[in-house]
Amino acid sequence: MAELDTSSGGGHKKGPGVKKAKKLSTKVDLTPMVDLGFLLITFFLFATTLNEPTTMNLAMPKDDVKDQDLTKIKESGALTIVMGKSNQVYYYLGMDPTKLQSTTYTQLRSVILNKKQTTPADDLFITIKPDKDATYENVVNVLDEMTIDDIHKYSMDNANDVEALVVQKTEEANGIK
Amino acid sequence: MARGKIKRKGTSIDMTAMCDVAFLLLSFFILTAKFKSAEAVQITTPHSVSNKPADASSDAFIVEIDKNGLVYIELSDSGIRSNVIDKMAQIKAVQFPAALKSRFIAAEMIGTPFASLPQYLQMSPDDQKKVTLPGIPVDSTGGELRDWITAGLQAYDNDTKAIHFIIKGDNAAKYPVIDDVLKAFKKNEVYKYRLLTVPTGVPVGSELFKKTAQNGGKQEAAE
Repeated sequence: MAELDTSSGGGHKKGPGVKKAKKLSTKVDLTPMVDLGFLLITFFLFATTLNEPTTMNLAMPKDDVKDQDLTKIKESGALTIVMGKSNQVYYYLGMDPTKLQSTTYTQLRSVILNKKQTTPADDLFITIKPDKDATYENVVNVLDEMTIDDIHKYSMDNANDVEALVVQKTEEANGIK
Repeated sequence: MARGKIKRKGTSIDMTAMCDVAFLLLSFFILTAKFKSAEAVQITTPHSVSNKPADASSDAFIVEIDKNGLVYIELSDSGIRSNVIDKMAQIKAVQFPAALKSRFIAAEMIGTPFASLPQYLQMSPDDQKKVTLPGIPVDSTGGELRDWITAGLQAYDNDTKAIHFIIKGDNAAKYPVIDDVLKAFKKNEVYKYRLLTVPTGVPVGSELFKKTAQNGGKQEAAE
């Protein structure tokens, strides 16, 4: 294939004075080229990011629910997570927002798991309340945390006035802008 | 007795065929690679452990929220766009210029208030690139986005199974805008949508990690 016919055609006989032309081989060693080819293939395969985006399903409740349809939450099983500004996250157990405690997104998991282990599975209810300064990333992070910690009962709501105020005061006290 | 001479064999193998294969593969991979189309609006989506493929290519109604809280709509199926704009004109009770309809269908995203849409579409593509899109107005009652969702639903004959609502939000988008967008969906009685995320690994040792290990590596379809 990659060879040329170099044999001189015809039975032309050379004279005694004619020097025999040195036959150069036209065969090229293709090994380095193969190396290069496969190197490029490997490089492109590794350098390609398969960025197939995924989605997280989210189902929100209807707004116009009647009183009897409302989910009743036991105070002992309630955990409310409030997301504040500058990636701050707060939580409180039960129904009293003034008992707000600060935590971080990395520690949130242990807070949730602690609550999960100390509460009967049916009683546990987590309310996620993003403050007006929370970012979309915070919201998705916390929703993701629910999946990671295998929590089935949770809801998302807006922070009420008391919670907003408590968060604001805490932020002021901690000097978070 | 004279021993037969052992013929020495050359150890060099003809590499031509191998070389052919290597470059054939190389050109195949290069040609089949899909290039990411340049996006008009840069959106960095958050990470999540979810592993459901997005399938954003067909019948998706994508609501995009950029880092400044501006809202855009992207309709992945260009076939439905003419239907959507008709319905939207009906809702707004105005006549949408017929001449601009083809331009609307060709446009990749909707990023202006409905009133200034004709003005935007009239511009040449180069001018369109220069202007910063003001975004679709949203407020606590849903704003204009609510009407677009209604139009989208109507275009799909109110079949919520046929249309995929996807929210593509930027990491830095503030929650109030997200809330407004969710309200716009709520007003249309759409309660299920998907959030576009970048997949990430499940943290080792977490509850989900143990569960997926039990289920043979499959995440449960959480509703």
